[in-house]
Amino acid sequence: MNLTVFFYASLREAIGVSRQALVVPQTTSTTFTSGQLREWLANQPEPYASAFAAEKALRCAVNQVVVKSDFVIKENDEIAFFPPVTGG
Amino acid sequence: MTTIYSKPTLAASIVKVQEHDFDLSSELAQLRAGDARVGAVACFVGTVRDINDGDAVALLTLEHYPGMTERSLEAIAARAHERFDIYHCLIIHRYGPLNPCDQIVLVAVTSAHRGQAFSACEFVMDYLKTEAPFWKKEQTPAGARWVEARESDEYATRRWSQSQPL
Repeated sequence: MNLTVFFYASLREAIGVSRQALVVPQTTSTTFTSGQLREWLANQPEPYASAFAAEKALRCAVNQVVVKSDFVIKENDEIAFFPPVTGG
Repeated sequence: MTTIYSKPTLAASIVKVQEHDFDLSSELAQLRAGDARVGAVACFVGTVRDINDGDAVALLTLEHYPGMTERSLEAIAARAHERFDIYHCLIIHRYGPLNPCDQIVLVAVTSAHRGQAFSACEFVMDYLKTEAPFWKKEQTPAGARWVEARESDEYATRRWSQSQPL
């Protein structure tokens, strides 16, 4: 599955780019969730492994709405990861 | 980007995410122009402090997620309209480099009487703090650092889902 993932704030700095095209291998299951994507990213080489380590507080937005880890991702979705927000 | 939409009741939400500063007086004048239903205007202005967590802050840079930011603020304004008896809701949030004393954010709400305007203004700010995709990076004598999210902001937002609608 082809995905483009956006990174913001401290995560963007840790990864070194603001967006990255990814080819995520199709799993045996029929669905692929935002939680599975995060796990897959945590298993990639550095800087991904550290930036997406399980203990990092990160949010995932799909199509500009924050989602939980069981949210099913489809090809061409707009996916973004970022730390907890600090505006206002 | 500016989005303006109206509900059939003429309740209006205005969201502006911009780099430049805003003028409180002219924004409030525009918000309630010619609308004699309005008897109360509550507003909140957030500004840049020169100290945070004990360190001097020389410059604050705000990053945001274009597109999602506007969408998120519009959703918060819509929720305020559903929950409170208000006429207008204006949200302006700046991004980019800001200096101490600069204005960061404006939330202004109009209603017939003050109670609903005060509550809705606080409601919008609480949700903005925990949901709108903005991130602050501050320059201190020890270097640049990203501001950490505060537990107290999460708590402030959770209060609204626990209390009964007014």
